[in-house]
Formats: sequence, structure tokens, C-alpha cells
Amino acid sequence: MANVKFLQFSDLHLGARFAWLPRERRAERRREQQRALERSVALAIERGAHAILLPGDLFDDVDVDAESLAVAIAAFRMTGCPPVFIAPGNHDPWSETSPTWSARALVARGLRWPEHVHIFGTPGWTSKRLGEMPVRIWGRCFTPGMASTERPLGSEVRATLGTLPVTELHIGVFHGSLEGHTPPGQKLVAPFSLDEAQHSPFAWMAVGHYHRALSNAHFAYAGSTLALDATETGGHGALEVRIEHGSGPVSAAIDAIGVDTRRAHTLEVDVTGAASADQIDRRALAALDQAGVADRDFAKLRLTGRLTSGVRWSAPGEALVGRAWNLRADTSAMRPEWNLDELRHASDETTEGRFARVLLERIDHETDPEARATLERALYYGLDAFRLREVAPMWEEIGA
Amino acid sequence: MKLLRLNINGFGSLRGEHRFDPDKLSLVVDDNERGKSTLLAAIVAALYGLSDDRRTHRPLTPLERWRPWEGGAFGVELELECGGEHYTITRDFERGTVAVWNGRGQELTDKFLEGRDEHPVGKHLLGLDVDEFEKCAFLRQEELDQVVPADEKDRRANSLQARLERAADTRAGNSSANEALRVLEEASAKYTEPLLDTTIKVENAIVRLDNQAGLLDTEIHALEHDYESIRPHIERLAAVEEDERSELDRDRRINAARRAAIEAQARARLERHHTSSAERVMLDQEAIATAPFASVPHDSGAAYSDAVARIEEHARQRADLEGQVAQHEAALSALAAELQALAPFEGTEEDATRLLKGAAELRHIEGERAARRAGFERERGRLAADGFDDEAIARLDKRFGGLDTHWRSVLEEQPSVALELQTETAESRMRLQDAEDELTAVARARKVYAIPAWIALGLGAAAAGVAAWQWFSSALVISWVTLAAVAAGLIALGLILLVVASRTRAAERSGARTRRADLRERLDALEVRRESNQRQIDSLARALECADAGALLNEWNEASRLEYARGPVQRLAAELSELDALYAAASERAGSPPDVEFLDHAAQSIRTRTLSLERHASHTTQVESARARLAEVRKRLAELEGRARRILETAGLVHHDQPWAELAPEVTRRANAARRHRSLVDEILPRVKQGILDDDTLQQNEQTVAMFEADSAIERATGMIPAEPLQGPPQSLAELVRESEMVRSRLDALHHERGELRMRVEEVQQRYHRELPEKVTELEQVMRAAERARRFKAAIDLARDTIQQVALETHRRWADFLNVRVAKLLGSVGTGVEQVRFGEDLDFAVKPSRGQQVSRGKAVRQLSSGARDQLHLAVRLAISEYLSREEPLPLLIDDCFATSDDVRARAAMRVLIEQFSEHHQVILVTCHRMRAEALAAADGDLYHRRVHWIDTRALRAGASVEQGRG
Repeated sequence: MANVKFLQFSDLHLGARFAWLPRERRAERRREQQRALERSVALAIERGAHAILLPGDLFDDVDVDAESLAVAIAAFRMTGCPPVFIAPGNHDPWSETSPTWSARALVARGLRWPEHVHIFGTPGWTSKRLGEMPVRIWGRCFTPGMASTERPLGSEVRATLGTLPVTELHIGVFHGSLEGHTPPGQKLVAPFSLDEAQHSPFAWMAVGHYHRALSNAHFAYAGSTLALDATETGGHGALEVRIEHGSGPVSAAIDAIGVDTRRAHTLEVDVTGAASADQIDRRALAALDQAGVADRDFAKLRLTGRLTSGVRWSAPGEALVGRAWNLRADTSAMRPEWNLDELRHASDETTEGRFARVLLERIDHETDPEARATLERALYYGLDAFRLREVAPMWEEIGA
Repeated sequence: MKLLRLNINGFGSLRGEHRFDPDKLSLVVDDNERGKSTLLAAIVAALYGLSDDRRTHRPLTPLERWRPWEGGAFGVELELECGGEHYTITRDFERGTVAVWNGRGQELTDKFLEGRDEHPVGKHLLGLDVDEFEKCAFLRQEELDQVVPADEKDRRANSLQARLERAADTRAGNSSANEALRVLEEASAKYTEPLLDTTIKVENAIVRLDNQAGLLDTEIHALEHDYESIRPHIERLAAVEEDERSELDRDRRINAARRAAIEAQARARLERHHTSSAERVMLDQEAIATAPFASVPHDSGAAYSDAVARIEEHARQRADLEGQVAQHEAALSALAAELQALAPFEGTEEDATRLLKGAAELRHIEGERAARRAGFERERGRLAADGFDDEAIARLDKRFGGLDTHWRSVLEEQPSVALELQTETAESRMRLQDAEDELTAVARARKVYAIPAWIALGLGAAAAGVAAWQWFSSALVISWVTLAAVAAGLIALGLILLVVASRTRAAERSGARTRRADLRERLDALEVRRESNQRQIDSLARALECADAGALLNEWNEASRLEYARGPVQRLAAELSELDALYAAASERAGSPPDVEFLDHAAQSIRTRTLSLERHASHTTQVESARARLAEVRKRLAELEGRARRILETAGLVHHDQPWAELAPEVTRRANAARRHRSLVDEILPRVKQGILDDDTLQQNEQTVAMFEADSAIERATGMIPAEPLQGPPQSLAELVRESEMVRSRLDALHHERGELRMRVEEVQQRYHRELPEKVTELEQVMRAAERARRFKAAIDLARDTIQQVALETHRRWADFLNVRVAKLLGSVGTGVEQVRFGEDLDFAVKPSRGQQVSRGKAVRQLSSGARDQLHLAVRLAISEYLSREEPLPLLIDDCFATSDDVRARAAMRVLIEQFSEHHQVILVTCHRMRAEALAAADGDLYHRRVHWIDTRALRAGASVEQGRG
């Protein structure tokens, strides 16, 4: 019986632009990313990890800025840093000319990955033994132009690997998507199924790509080390993975370690009946309080419901803005209070009534979402013109 | 909808209950300011409630306006029927409560709930909200006055057209389609984009944002281009790094090699020291042995050998020259004898050439003469064969040789002249015959007219005679006058015919006669010429003693043939004569005797003599030259022998009679010994001494070797990886030093290049990574803003287009309905308006009775106030009728006939009672009690059947009042 301990983290996306943040916040968040990496390495040292497993997307782009690259290399040079195994992901694919991974290109910049950092540089599975331990780390990388639908744990790949010697513990490190769990908007890359994971030749797999932590008996996603967007709610950090292996079946124990000092929140605020912009702000403040949003957190407010006629709300007020580190509002689900059903079924022959019915009929028959949104916006602006004698840009986020 | 009962528990100034007859027109009569309008407001409030929204009702909300003046309860209760259902609506405005019950006692309040606490019962039952209801069903008195305000600005804002449009365009709102379009237009024109920090037209905002995006895109491309452009630098940087590493490795190897070379050098010096010390002893002994020959010049052997070789060479030259002199002298003797024999042929080359040329010319002329002579003989033979022997030739020459040119010409031309005369004569005679024939034909033609002419003349003469006879005698019955006339006529006819005959073919006749005369003259001339020629021939024949002219001509022909036949003989004879003359001239030029063979021999001898003279001169020159060189060789030989003797003397040797070469080995041996001695003394011994180290140097080298041995031992002990040995042939220490310097120089250059490249690359990389994310983010923001603006513009454009399209159709439908309905209503009232014509924009034109159609604005000014109010009332009634076709609206009318005369007021009331109250419940309030009573009196039966009188005085007293009249 022997134990091996890993620290797993991924999807740090060093050098990310954070375009959704105000200019002054972007640099701050990027520094937090760098500190998160240093903190993760320090955790590996503190906890006596035998290796750091990094299954992809350490960098947001293969052409990352010099500072991020230098910080990453320096972090892994930390005294006591255990061997590091990096499997480049779809954001930072490996190539001969990659300014991030290519030793030659790095030398040109006066940089060099430490000797104990092993970067998997082929799309196929390759392995490296972990020091003198009977542990072999397997990994594969993404390369530019690589087919993202290639299955890393498919039967053909398994057949290629054959039966791995039982005298060693085999650990897989890769970047891929567990089918059926892909978050909305996230790209499907290197897909694998639960069944494939269960029948993989590896005793344990450290997987990257999903930004939310996810694990089972065969593998684990550590999620993104930091929340990269307000939609990435919940805790973010690294995983301590302890694996016991010997004569019996391999067992893994996972501890999640929080690294991100901020929390991301996505909240819904119903604006129906609010008689003023202040009232909407107050409702948003109440929602923030209720969700326990700290002043160092960032949140996305999703405004829903019917906005009272004549009330204009396009951005959080001053008090609301100061409530959190960053607040963003999504008004795409907010609608005016005009009763569309009533308009649809009304029989009056006024221009307004017929205008509404014409547009509603077109909306009902329109299949293109963008055209449908345009029709909806035209309806609201037309009704505003008829009824409020005032039109202001309000509904551009509909369908956006 | 039918209103049945209204119970007012405090509403403005009103209290009390009022019942309405749903099937009759309710005529509410009261004084001014007594609350009749409040009654109508209470009905509306019961149906829709009272708003307390200060945002839309300033400065007074409806709730505040209708609060009872004296305080107390504030509420209403309304009973009504709608859609076959009975409803009771109870509203307590003070408490803000409402309750709705149906006729079966069921509470339906929640059914009418809208929003949080509003219960617009009227909206649910009629499909109209409060504004729409008031617009369609509530006709206030003042509104009729204000339909066309006096002020132009107000008129624009509240014109009838605008109100009609509003009624047509919106129920919930208060904007017409045009106003809505203007609002949309204004929104499009005042688009605020925070990124641009300005408010401008949305189109301009899009353009600006697109421009901004384009600019950012260009900047991003520039950054990317710059970034891309440093890739070669990065490549070069990597290459430089590799080169630098390679050079460092090379430097390390060179250093190792240099250390090894120094160690080897120290070892070599020590070894040389030991070797040189041993060698020096042997060399000292050799120097002593060679010392006796030290004074012998070191090049004596070579100099002597050289001198001997040259002596032998000069001896060989001397013998050769002596042989040459002898040969030349023999040749000169032979040539002198040959010249003696050729002395007679002294001459030049020109002479020889001239002789040869003369011989050749003579040979050529002689050949030509022989050929001509043979030809001459051959031609003479042929002439004789033709019959021209010498005798015949002499005879003919004698006969015709003396003839002059004239006679020769006569004889030569005789045959041709005779032929010519014969031909011309024949031809002239033939042409003369033609002319004669033509004249005969003309005479025949003239006779056709001439014969009758002469007959007529004859008859005429006869008749004249008879007439004369009658004149004298009158013997006949015919008058003489008649006869004279006949005679004159016949004579005239005869004359005319004669004239005609004389003119018939006159031109032909004249031409034929002329030709005939000419031909006769020509024939005469030919005859004269022939005779002259014949006479000349005859004369010549006689002169030449020929029998006759024919014989003469025969002989002349013979002579002519001889002349032709002997032409070649004469030509060859002439050529022979010319050749004889040429031969004579050539002989004269060649000299005498003209012997061709001799001429050839003389020419050859002249040339042989000339050549012999030349060879003699050549040999003379050569023998003199050989003698001069022989003397020089002999002199040089003596000098060389002297030089060899001097060399022998320096080597301590003497030459006797032996060959010079025999002494050469000894001279060489002695010279070598001298050279070896000098070499030992000057070079070898000093060099050997150089290899011998002094004590300090010896010690120093021994220490160096010991130190390197110690270093190697340490490296082996510490496990240091020794530098790879340098490839290629071993190099000296100096070479290693030089290469080390070169490597360091290259390293410096690489280091410098690396520094510059890195600076350049880092500058671009830093700028790229610093600026690109910001630019991309900014671009995304700008593009999002542009997209927002586009969405806004698209929505506004779509809303505007749709409103325009729908409004046009709505207004057209409204216009059609109103045209018919308003005209009918006005016709019923008797208003002086014949026709109202609404346009698609709901503006209308009016055609007054007995007048032209005029625009609404002009018509409103032209119509009386009564007619105007009636017009406006008809329009509103028509609108209400149109809007309430599904569920008849109750019409709440507030004193709308105040400006109408009695007749029109009566007619209008009849319209309301007869045409509207059948379908709509009409509640009309008025303060004109006496007029109402008069109208009721005038149409007693109608009012009795169809009008329900209500007097509100009783209501103010707190009692329920129902009063019927008529």
C-alpha cells in the first residue's frame, strides 16, 4: 500500500483580458490570477504534494504577455515546488513555435521552464515517471488546428495504449469535456463519456476545461482557479487529491481548497411594479443582501419582469454600484408592462391597436431570433410613442 | 351597456340616487353649476374608479378633484346591464375599496382586478379604458367649443383632426399616429451614446461608432503586424542564443586545449633542455675538427664547379665557330666562280620580267595568226563552191565596183519601187471604180424626181401655150385664166421636183466626185514615177553595157549575193592584217632577234646571277660575324681560366695540366668543411644553447608541469566533466590564443546582437500585450455600442414604417365610414352642410349647402357656431358609433346644443332620440330647462315615448327623483 498526493488546478487563464470589468479592475483581477498561481504552488509545497497536475488552460492565450509568462515560470521555481505536469489545453495549445511552451522560443525571451516542469507536447498520450515513485503520469496536449472532437479516452486510443503495467500507478492529465455536462456557451473539446472514464487505463484522471469543480471516482475537474466571469458562481481554487494504491483497488480522496478570494454571483431582480429607478435599485440591493454578496464580490444582476411605463432604468445607481467590487446588469429579460396578450386579442380598430397586432402577428410567425427581437423592440418603442409620448433606448438587450 | 341606477354617496357636490331608463334618452336638466356634469363624471368614476397618480394628473388628481366638498362619505354605486348580465358596482373612494356583484348575488370583484389594486370594470365590460371611454362616449360641452381653438398654436395642438386622429389611432394613449411618428423621429434624432459622450442622430452615432471601430481595428492590425514582424527577430534571437552557447562551449574547449598546450610546451622545453645539453658536447668537438678550413669561402666548391662548367662550355663554342668560318669561306669561293660565268647576263629583275613577257606575247600572236589563216583558206574554198571563182568575182567587181552611191541605191530600190507602184496603182483603180459606182447610184436616185419634173414642166409649158392661145382667141370653153393657172401649177411642180432631185444625196455625190478626181490624179503621178524609174534603169544598163535593164538587174542581183557570201573571207583577211601588224610591233619591243627560246634563257640567267650575288653577300656577312664571335669566345675563355685558378688558390690548390674538373671534388670538400664550421659556430651551437634553460626558467617550467598535473588530479577527484576536445588537427598555443580571441570577439558580437534584438522584441511584445487587450476590449465595446445603435435604429424604423402603414389604412377606413355617417347625421339635423369629405389623414373638407367644397379650416370660419358645433357633434357621434359597434356605448352628452338655434336643436335632439337612443343609452345633461321643455312640447309624443326626464334639484336634496314628461 502506498499513498501519493497531488495538487490539481487548471483553467487559470493567466493573462485573460477581463473585458467585462472596468479598466481599473482588469489589472487588479489579473494580479489576483498571478497570486492565485503562487498560492496554488505554495499549497502544493505546504501540503507535501508529490506533484502538481495542471490539465490545461494555464494561460488564456498561447501568446500570453511576458509578465504572465514570467510570473508562471517564477511561481514554479519556488523552492520546494514538486514536479509539475502540464497538459496544454485548447486556450494555450502546444506547438513547436509556441512562445509559451517552445524551449527555443522561451530561450529567445530569456526564459526557461524549470527542469521539474514537464509539459506534454504531443496530442497522443505520453508518459513520464514521477521521480523514483512507482507512479507514471500520462498526458496529452492540444495543438493548434487539432480536431476538438477527438476522443481522448475512446476505444481506439485505449487500444493503442494497451494494458498498462500494474507495477505502476497510472495517472492521466488532459483537457477535455465530459459529455452531458458541458455548461452553456462552453466549447466541446476532446469529449469523453462517463463510461469511457470508467474504462480508461488510468487509475485517476485530472481533467481541465470546465470552470466548475466536478469529480467522481475516476476523475476530477478542479474548475477554474479563479472565477473568470460573474456567471462562474461558487468556490474556485485547487484540489488536493490523495490516492491510495497497492494490492487492492485504487481509491482517491479529494479536498477542495479555496484560492479565489472573491465570489461571483448571478442574481435575478424582478422589476415588476417598481415605480422608479430607485425602487429597482432598492430591490437589487435587497437581492444582494439576501444572497450574502460581500463588498469584495462581483455580481451580475439579471433584471426580469415588467417595467412600469415611464420608468427608465439602464444602469445601477451610485449606491448600488458601491455595494460590490463589480456589478453588471443584464436587462435582456426585462420587458415593459404593456400587456401583449390583451393587445393581441383586442379588437379595436385604432392605429395603435392594429399596429400592435401587426407586429405581434409577425413576432408569432418569425423564426429568426434576431428578427424576432427587432420586432419586439419595435413594438415596445411604438407603444411608448403612442402612450408615453417618449421613446428612449431601453430594449436593445432583448434577444442580445 | 345600459346604466340602470346611480347612487351617489358623496361625489363632488352631488349625493343621492338616480335611476335611468335604459330604453330612453335620459335628459338631465338643472341649472348652471349644479352638478349635472358631475353626474356624468360620477358614472365614469363608478365604471373605472378614480386615479390618484400625480405623475399623470397634475396639479389635481381625479380623486382629489371629486372628493366631496363638505367631507363625509365619498363613493358611488352603479347598477348596469351588459352582455345580458346585471352588475352592481360599489366604490368607496375614501377607503379605496370596490365591490362588484352580479344579479345572482355573486361577488365578481376579483374578476375585474388589474394590477395590484385597480378594478377598471368599464374596461373589462366595454373593452375601453377610461381614456378611451371618455374619448368615445363622453361628449363634454367645452370640448365642442375647443375642437377648433381660435389660437393657431392651440388649433394645431388640439385641432379636430388631431382629436380624430387620436381617437382613431389610440385608445390607451393620447397620441395620434403622427405624434407617435414624431416621437419616434425625435428619439432617432436624439440618440445618446455614452461612448461618444454626445447626443446625435442614431445614424450619425452608428457612423461614428463604425469609424471608431475601424480606427481601433486598424490599430489592432498595426499591433498584430508589428508583433508578427518580430517573429524573424525572435527566431534570430533563438539562433543567437544557440550560437552563443555554442561559442561558449567552443571557448571552454579552447581554454582546455590552451592549458594542455601550455603544459605540453613546458614539458617540451624541459625535454629540449636535456637534449640540447647532450648535443652541445658533440658539436663542440666537430667545430674543432673543421676549424682549419674556416677561411675557405663557403661557396668555393660551387664557384669552382661553375667556373669549370663555363670553361668547358666556352671551349665547345670556340670549336663550333672555327668550323663555321671555314664553311663560309668555302661557299664564297664557289659563288665567285658562278658569278664569273654569268657575267654576260647582267641585268635586273625588271629586265628578266620584260623578256619573259615579250616571249609570251609573241607566242600568243603567232597562235592567233595561224588560226585566222586557216579560217581564211576555209572560207575561200566555200565561196568557190558557191560559184564565185576568181573570174566571176573579177567580172562582177569590174561591172559594179565603180558605181556611185546613187546608182547603187537605184539598183537596190528597183524591186521595191516596182512592187510599190504596182500595188498603189491597183488600189487607186479599185477606189476609182467605187467612186464611179457611187455617182451612178446617186444619178439613179435623182432620176426619180427629175423625170416627173420635166414632164410637169412640159405639160405646164403646153398649158401655158394653150392659155395664151385662148386669151387671144377664146376658142375653147375653158377660160385662159384657168389654163394659165394650170400651166403655172405644173411649172411650179416641175421646178420643185427639179430642186428636190438636185438636192437628193448631194453630199455623197460631191464626195464621190472629189475622190474620183483625186484618184485619177494619183494614178497619173504613179505612172510618171514608174516611167522615170524605168528610164533610169535603161540608162544605167546602157552605161554598163548590158543588153537591157533586165540583164542589168540580174547581174546586180548576182553581185549582191557575192557581196553577202564573201563577207567572212574579207573579215578574216582584215584580222590577219591586224595580227601581222601586232606581231611586228611585239618583235620590235622584244628586240632582235625575236627568238622566243633565247628570250626565256636570258631571263633565267639574269635571275640566277641575281640570286648568286645575294648569297655571296650573305656568306660574306656571316663569316665576318663568326670571326668576331670567335674572338670574343677566346677572350672569355681566358678570363674563366683565370678565375678558376684564383679559386684554387683560395682553397690552397694549384692547377697544372690536368683537366680542370679533376680538382673540383677537393675544392668542394674543403668548402663544405668551412661551411659546417661556420654553421656550428654561428647557428647550431647557439641554437642548441637556446634549448638549454637557465636555472630560473628550468625551475619555472618544472613548476608549471607540476601545477597542471595537480589540477588534473583535482578535476578527476571532483568528477568535473572535462571539456570535449577540439576537433580537427592539433593547434599551437598561439593559434589557440588567436582562436580564443576570435571566439570572444564573436561572443561579444552575439551578446551585443542579442541585447539589441531582445530590446527590440521586448519593446514590441510589451506594447502588444499592453495595448492589444485594451484595444480589443475597446473595440468590442464600440462594436457592441454600434450594434445597440443599429438595433435601436432598426426597431425605430420598423415601428415607424409599421405605424405609417397601419395609420394610412386605419384612417382610410375611418374616413369612409365618417363620410357617410356624418353626412347622414348632419342631413337629419338640417345643418347647412351638404357633404363632409374626410381624407386619409382624417382632415376633412366641407361642402356647405349652395356652396363650393372648402377646406376644414376655411369651413370652420365660415360656418356659424351652431352649425360648427353640430358638425363636431356629428363627427363625435359617428366616432362613438364606430367604436362601439360590438357593445353599444352609453353616450354621456354635456349640453351640446347650447349654440344651436331652436330648429336645429330640435332636429339634433330628434336624431339623438330617434337614431341613437335606439342602440345607445344616451344621457344628456343641460342647463337650458325652458328650451328642453319647449322641445319636449314641440315633439310631445316622441319625448313622451323616448325621453326620461331627470331633475337634479331633487338629488341635491338627497332624494331619489324620477320624473317623466312628455
